[in-house]
Amino acid sequence: MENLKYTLKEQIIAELNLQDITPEDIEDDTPLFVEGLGLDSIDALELVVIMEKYYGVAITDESIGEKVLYSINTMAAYIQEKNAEKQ
Amino acid sequence: MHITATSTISHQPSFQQDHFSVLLSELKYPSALIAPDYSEFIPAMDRRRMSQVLKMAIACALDCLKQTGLKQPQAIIVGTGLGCGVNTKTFLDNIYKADGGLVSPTAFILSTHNSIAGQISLILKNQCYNITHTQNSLSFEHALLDAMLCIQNGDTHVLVGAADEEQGQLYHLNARLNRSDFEIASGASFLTLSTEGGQNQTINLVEVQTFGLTNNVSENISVFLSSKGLSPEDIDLVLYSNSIDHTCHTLIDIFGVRKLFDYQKITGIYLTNSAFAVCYGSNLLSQENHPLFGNSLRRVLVCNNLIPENLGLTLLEKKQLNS
Repeated sequence: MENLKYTLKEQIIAELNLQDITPEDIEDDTPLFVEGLGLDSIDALELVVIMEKYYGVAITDESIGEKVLYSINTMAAYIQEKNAEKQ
Repeated sequence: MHITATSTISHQPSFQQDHFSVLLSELKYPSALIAPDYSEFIPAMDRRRMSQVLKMAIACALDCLKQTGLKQPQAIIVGTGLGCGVNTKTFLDNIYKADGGLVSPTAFILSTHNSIAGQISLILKNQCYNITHTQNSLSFEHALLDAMLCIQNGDTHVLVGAADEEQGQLYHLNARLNRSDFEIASGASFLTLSTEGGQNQTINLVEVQTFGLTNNVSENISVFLSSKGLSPEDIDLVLYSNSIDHTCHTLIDIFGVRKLFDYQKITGIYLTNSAFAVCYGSNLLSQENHPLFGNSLRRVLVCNNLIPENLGLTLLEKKQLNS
């Protein structure tokens, strides 16, 4: 789980081109949007692309997206949950 | 109407240099854009998504406003030949690589020509008139015409400029332009047009005119000058670009060789490099005791004939006040 979270942080930094931010700067439970990391609605779309591109997890429902994309913890938990369902 | 500030980013040390026209020399290729530290102008969270053309344009726009002390222009008008083509290419590449899967939206969102003017307005939180003109090599001249109309219709301060960036596919265009002796380059140039000028001296934007599908540059210039009651003898310097030697010979016939300067020698080729020429001309006129021209310059004509069938003419004039 910790490896997954760290990899997620690296992917987010790379795909969103976050400058001067390292994985260590992103707390697992910090909100990714607005008051937390400061991401916006365009980034939300990028996160959806990351989830599908790297983990094969689709987010098609906006209400689910709001909960799943809240923090690194929620993203990692959703990826694990969906992978478990596949098995 | 008066040019109250200019700002230009190019392959030359032109940005934030009051006397940049003195500092320029003929480009030696390969050359590279001399970009400022964009972090001084654009927050990191905005900057991370921006291509070079957006960052150049925003930096120049903000620099112009800083020079004039103007918080909000009443119009933001941008000319661009190829807009955010780099992002368009990135988006198309991503579609190809995604093979039917989801595609990152960022490159698409910032791929349109009007992203440049739009991003300037977002940075400024400006909700005034915002428009983009894209008419190939005459994009900047049409933006200038629009800006002049805004002033004539009652606006007092207008921000107008142009930007284009180097991109791979332009090398094919360069071959079409038959100018293999000049390299493709990037640049952004902005200026503020105002109803009020400086206290002692002002640079006026006298007239702009474009001619599409022209086949008689000589007649076009004659009509242009006559409309202002001027003759070729009244023009002190012609900053020109042309893609065929024929135009150069025509200009020599009209003005004489000593008044001519091919600005592409200092800008390289891009579709809106005439915006640089207007900023350069304005800077030349504003200098006292210029090393090359002294105080002899009063009127500068920018003659944009980059593409043979397109002609853009822009006339600048120095006016001494309180004298």
